[in-house]
Amino acid sequence: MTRTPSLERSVGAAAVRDTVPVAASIAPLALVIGATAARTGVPVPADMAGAAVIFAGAAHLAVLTTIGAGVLTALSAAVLINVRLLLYSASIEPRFRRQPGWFRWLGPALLIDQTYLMVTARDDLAEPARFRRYWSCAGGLLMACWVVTVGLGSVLGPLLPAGVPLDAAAVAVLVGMLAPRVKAWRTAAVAVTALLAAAVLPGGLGLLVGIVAGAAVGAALDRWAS
Amino acid sequence: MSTAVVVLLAVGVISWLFRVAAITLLPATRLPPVARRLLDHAVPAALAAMVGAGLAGGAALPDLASRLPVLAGAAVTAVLAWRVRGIVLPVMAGLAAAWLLSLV
Repeated sequence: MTRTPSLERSVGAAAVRDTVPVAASIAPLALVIGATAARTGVPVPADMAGAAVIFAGAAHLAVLTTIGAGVLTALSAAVLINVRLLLYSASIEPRFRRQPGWFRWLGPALLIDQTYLMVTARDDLAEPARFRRYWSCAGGLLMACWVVTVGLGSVLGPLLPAGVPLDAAAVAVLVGMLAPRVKAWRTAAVAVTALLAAAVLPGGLGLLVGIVAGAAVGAALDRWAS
Repeated sequence: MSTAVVVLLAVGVISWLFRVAAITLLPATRLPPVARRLLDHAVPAALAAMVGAGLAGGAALPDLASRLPVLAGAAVTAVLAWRVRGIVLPVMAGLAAAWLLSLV
C-alpha cells in the first residue's frame, strides 16, 4: 500500500476519535490514583513519572495501597496484576512482526488493556505503517491524557476534606474492573477464593496468598474441566 | 527518593519487560501449559485479592461496622458494573453510597 499524507491523516484522525471516549472512561481511575498518591506522600512529579512508566492503573494503585505492607508485597501484587501484559504481548505480536526494530522495542510501552482492545477491534491495520501510525497516535494520546489526569488527581487530592473515603474509592475502582470479568462460575470461584483469603489473612500475607490461591483454584478447575 | 517511588519505577521497568517479552524476546505461546493456566487467572485473582485487602482495611479480622461504607460502596459498584458498560457510572455510584454512609 502506498503511503500518502491524506491516508496518514485519516489513520491519525481515526485513532484520536477512538481514543477520546476511552480516555474519558479511565479518567476516574487516574484521579483516584493521583489522590491516593497524594495521601501516601508521593510527590506529584514522581507519581506522574510512575503513571507514564507503569501505564496500568490497577498495578499503579496496587503499589500505592499496599506499600504499607512492605516492598515485596507491593511489588508482587503489581507484577502479578501486570502479568497479563505478557499475554497481550503474545497475542499482538503478529502486528509487530514486520515493524522496524526501534518500534518493536518502544511501541509495546503503549500496550495496555485499552490499546490492545482498540487495535484488535479494527480490521484495517494490517499494513505495518498504518498500524504503526494508529498505535502511536492512540497510545500516545491515551498515555498523555492518563499522566495529566493522574497529576490532576495528585494536585486535587490534598484539597479533599479529611472525611472523604478514598479507600472506598480505591476499592470501588477495583470492583468496577473485576466485576465485568466475573462472567463464568470458574472466574467467580477464582475471585471468591482470592478475595476471602486476602480479607481474612493479615496484610501483605493475605494479598499474596489470595492471588496465588485464586490463580491455583482457577488452574485446577481448568484441568478438572478438560 | 521514597520507597513508594522506587517501587513504582521498578514496576514500570518490569511491566515494560512484560510488554516487549513476547514481541522481541520469548513468545509466551512457548510457556508450559501449567504456567499459561496460572497466568490466565492471575488478573481476576489479583484484582479480587486487592478488593479483599481493601475491604479488610489492613486488619486481619475486620470490624465490619467500621468498614460498612467501603462494603456498601463495593456492593453498589459490583451490581452496577455487571449491568452497565464502562467503569465511570458504577464507581461514581459506589463512591456516593460510601460517602453517604460515612456521614451517618
